[in-house]
Amino acid sequence: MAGRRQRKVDHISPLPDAVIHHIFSFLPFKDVIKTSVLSKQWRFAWTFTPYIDASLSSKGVVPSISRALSLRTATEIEKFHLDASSMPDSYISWELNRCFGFAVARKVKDASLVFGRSTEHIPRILCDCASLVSFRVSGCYLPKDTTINWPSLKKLCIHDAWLNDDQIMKILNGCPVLESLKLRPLRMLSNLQIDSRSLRELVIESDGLSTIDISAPDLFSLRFSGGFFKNKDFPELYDFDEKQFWPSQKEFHCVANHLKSVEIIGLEFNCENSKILLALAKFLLKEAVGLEKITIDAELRMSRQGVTIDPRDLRDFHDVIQLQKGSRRASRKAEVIVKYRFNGPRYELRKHKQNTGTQSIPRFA
Amino acid sequence: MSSSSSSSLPPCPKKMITLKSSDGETFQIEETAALQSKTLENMIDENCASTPIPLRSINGKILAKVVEFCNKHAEVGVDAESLHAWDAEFVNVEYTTLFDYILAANFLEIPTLLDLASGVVGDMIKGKTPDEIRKMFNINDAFSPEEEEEVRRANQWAFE
Repeated sequence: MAGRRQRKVDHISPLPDAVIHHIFSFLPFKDVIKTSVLSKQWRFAWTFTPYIDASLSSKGVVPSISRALSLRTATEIEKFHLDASSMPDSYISWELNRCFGFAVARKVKDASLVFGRSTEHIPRILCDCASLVSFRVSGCYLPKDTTINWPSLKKLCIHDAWLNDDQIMKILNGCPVLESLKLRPLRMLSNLQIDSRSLRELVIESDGLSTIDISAPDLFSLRFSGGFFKNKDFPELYDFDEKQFWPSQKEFHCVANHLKSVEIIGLEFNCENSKILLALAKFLLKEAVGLEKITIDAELRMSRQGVTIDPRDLRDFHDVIQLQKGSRRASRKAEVIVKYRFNGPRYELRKHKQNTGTQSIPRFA
Repeated sequence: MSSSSSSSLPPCPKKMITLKSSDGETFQIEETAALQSKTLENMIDENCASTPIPLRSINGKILAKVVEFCNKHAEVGVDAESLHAWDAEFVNVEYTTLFDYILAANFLEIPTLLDLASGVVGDMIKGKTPDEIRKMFNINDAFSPEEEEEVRRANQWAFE
């Protein structure tokens, strides 16, 4: 009887506002607004939430969201996420500007904007936002003749963006305290220049870059993935040496300072990229004094017959294992982790420099 | 594995602090694990943690679980995947207990626990109709149908 009565008690409505808003932060804006009809007590709870995560399912929704935003009473917006990836066309920029106008006026800290097939400009109003600490944008252009001013921005993630070489520079110039940059640029970019004194983490996913020039003395972690370089720029690949790796090696200050972790993801054997990326790994092992870990994540392909590995792949694989075994290291702590996939399962090999045990190439069953 | 690697170091006495629940139960927790709580961290910093810390809003049953959570998350060498599985098991409880975790995490300022439990409650609400939510949490004091219609109309798009 007592248990039955207990089940009827409303435990959620008496929770403190801060807790309710924290729960709201895990809900799409739509679900947050829906709580307005739960009971009289819940009617206005949604208007105080500093977290907005809205998905634009159709054109008509954008003005409704703008309206809902104008009804909010909270003076600050902590998080403003807008997913426009399922919007069919690109008429929405004016409304988007309005939505983000609310967010900028309420000192948004964490913003994200996802476009789908209809690539859009980043709302102009967002390009000058002093409160922004974290920004993620996907599928966008940078508006022409815009100055970027993100003096508080620490985390920036740009995916599938149409950015040219100058625009990347422009962005970095506008972010004096940027600590983490994740970049997946589209085709317009060929020579990537990263010049930042504050950067700690850099992730680059790219196909078809010609050169990368990194000047980031405080870099802590570096991660590459994707096929990187165009073949035509490296005619003498097979004589490639790690000494030649960075023409701007002297500029690569992080090597001498803080670089601790490097990941090379999706390494393909038996192609130009593998030679260059392996040369990079070798170079970093030899030069980076604070290095703790290089992870190489590779794929071993089967031959057409489907039973054996291509001998040329195996030769590259052997080079990777050699990295683990014997290459010279500037940092005693440096560990080389090789992850590779073969026929589905994933193996992992770990080996420390100081370990003198014998290491043979694993056999494949 | 982690304990064997530290065995070469001279044994160093672990600093423990004592927490006292609302119903008088006491719990010992290592200082390193307790530091996940901003509230406890402040008390440790101000040297207020030498005597049992009374936590009047948290009962023994919940405090035991909170201590268990902090201990697990302070363990060295746990890989992300198994911790994730452990977390999922930890919050696989009745929602009233989830609210107790949330209130305790909110009071003690343990962001990992607060996010974990709030996220589960969020998932319970996500995509449900107002009726389903009312039933699930026994929310009374409902609007009259006319009043509800009026509230709905203010943000019609959210209900479509």
